[in-house]
Amino acid sequence: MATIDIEKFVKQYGPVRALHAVDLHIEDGEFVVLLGPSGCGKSTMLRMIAGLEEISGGVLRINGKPMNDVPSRDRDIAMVFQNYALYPHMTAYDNIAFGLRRLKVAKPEIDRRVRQTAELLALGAYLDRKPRQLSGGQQQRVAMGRAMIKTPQVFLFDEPLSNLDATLREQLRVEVKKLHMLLRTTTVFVTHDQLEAMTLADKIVVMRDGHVEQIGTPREVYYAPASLFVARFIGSPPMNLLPMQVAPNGMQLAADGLVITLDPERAADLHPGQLVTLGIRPKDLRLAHLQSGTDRHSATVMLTEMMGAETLMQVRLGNTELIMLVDDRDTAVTGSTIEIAFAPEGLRLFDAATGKAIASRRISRVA
Amino acid sequence: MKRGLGGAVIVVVLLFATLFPVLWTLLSSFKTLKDIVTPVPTLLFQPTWQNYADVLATPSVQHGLTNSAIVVGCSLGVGMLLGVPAAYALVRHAPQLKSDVLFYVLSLRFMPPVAIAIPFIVIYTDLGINDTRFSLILTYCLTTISTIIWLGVPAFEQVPREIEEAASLEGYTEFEVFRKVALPVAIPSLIGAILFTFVIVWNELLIALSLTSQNFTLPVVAASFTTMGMEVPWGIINASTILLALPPFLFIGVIMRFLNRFFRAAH
Repeated sequence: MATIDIEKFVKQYGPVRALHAVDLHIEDGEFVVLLGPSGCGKSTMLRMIAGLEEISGGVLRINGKPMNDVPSRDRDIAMVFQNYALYPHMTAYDNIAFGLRRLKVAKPEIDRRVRQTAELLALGAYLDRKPRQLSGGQQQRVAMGRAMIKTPQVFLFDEPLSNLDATLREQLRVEVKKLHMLLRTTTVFVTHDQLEAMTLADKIVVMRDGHVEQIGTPREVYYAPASLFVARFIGSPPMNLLPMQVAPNGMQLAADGLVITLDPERAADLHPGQLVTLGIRPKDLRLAHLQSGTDRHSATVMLTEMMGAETLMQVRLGNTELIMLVDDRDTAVTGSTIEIAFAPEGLRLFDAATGKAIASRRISRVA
Repeated sequence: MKRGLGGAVIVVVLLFATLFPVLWTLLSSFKTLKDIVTPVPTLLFQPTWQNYADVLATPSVQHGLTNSAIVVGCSLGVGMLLGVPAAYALVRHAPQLKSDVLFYVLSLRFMPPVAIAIPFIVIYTDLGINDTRFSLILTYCLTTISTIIWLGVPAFEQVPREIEEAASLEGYTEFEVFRKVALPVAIPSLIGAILFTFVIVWNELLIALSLTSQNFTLPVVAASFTTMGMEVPWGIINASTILLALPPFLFIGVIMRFLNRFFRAAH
């Protein structure tokens, strides 16, 4: 069990800076997901924690102890790699036992723990096989077993599910979650898949170009994105984003004939004439008869996609196309005109110039 | 793919042209001199082991065989001991030097052997070790170390970096990672590299011919048979050729497998 403190992490590759003074505190037993598009520095950061990449600047502490100069073999960390990284010349059994052999654990004890781990991961029948005789999912389970068996202080996962097909990915995601609930080992998990991040994380760190955009619970990053980047990156279907301007009275947003009235508390953060981006999740665009007390807008249904219990509707409002997600029973026919309303609690405002959320702190309290 | 009849004929002709001399040598090595020099070649004859007995009883052959075994064994041993870790170090710790070092190492093989031999004779004579097994081992080490490095680099490049990282995260030191992970994974390719190197030095004639007069190796002995006296001892020449070719032949299957792996990995 361990806490991890990252202070002003910098990674420099020659003239290129891959990480810009990143700070992060990870609680004991916490499941933290580093999320971002490729090249954002998330894997680099993970490898710096593991000791596989040199720390160009800043301090890494595990349980309060500085780790910068400790080689990876002495950090008591286990890592699961994207391409599994199993030892091809060893059986699944030996792959899992390899770390314990180094610790000079007695043979019967190794055997007991390997079998116990294999049981937990449903690998019992495959222990005698070499990695190339195993499927991708089985290989990744062996890799997880190899990481678990040492009962390390910290688990690191580097996009462990991205080489698997969709069904397996879902299965293993659940297994990772269960394992964490069982073992409560401090975990850092890297992914570019926002759904994986949302389902697994206690805390999500959204990264972009070597900077941290937002740190928060899955709810916080979903409902109160700190920036336009986070708003675009999190959520599927994505958040609707509309460029608008604050009206002279300071109480309304206007664009293209579309006028949205704000509640006074929200309007207090704005000044007349300010350019903003309005964000609203597809679920918070409602059919007007289901939402009382707000402005109604006429919109044309352009396209509907039945997704099961819900239907995704692409509607045109003035010159803007919006996506809304409605209960399938409320769906409208393509080409028809419907009345829609913006749920006030779903409105998010971003400064158009900086891309940062306006008053997100107050909203995050709501979330 | 269907091959035409013409292609098949060419293959058969080429195979015959390549293999027939070898087969003829093998047959002749079991013939008496009378059967060999007869104007009408005989396919049916009384086989004899006499040629092999004569060859192995010849003092110069025994001496050459001993020398070859010692010289090739030692230079191959040194080549493995230095070349394999050097190849690994190049791949993992000095990748920026890799292409320069590989070119340098290969360029050692570009030089005609005689061009190397003459300066070496001078140096070895000055040091008082000319015409010794030691000086020949020293010279062959150039070949073995460079060839093993050259073929060892791709062998270690095939080892995924992540599995070494995984092992180091499991607490293994750098040397243990090399010995327990990198080496076992690379070993099938490395064995091919070592056998290939063995064949090169086992068959080496020109340097051995220039550097030795007393401590000659087996190829030198075999070459000298052709210039012995008036009556050419064909049986003995054939038998010694077969004996000389036997060790590389035994490894040829293994080498073919290695080359297959090598070229498949390149594509």
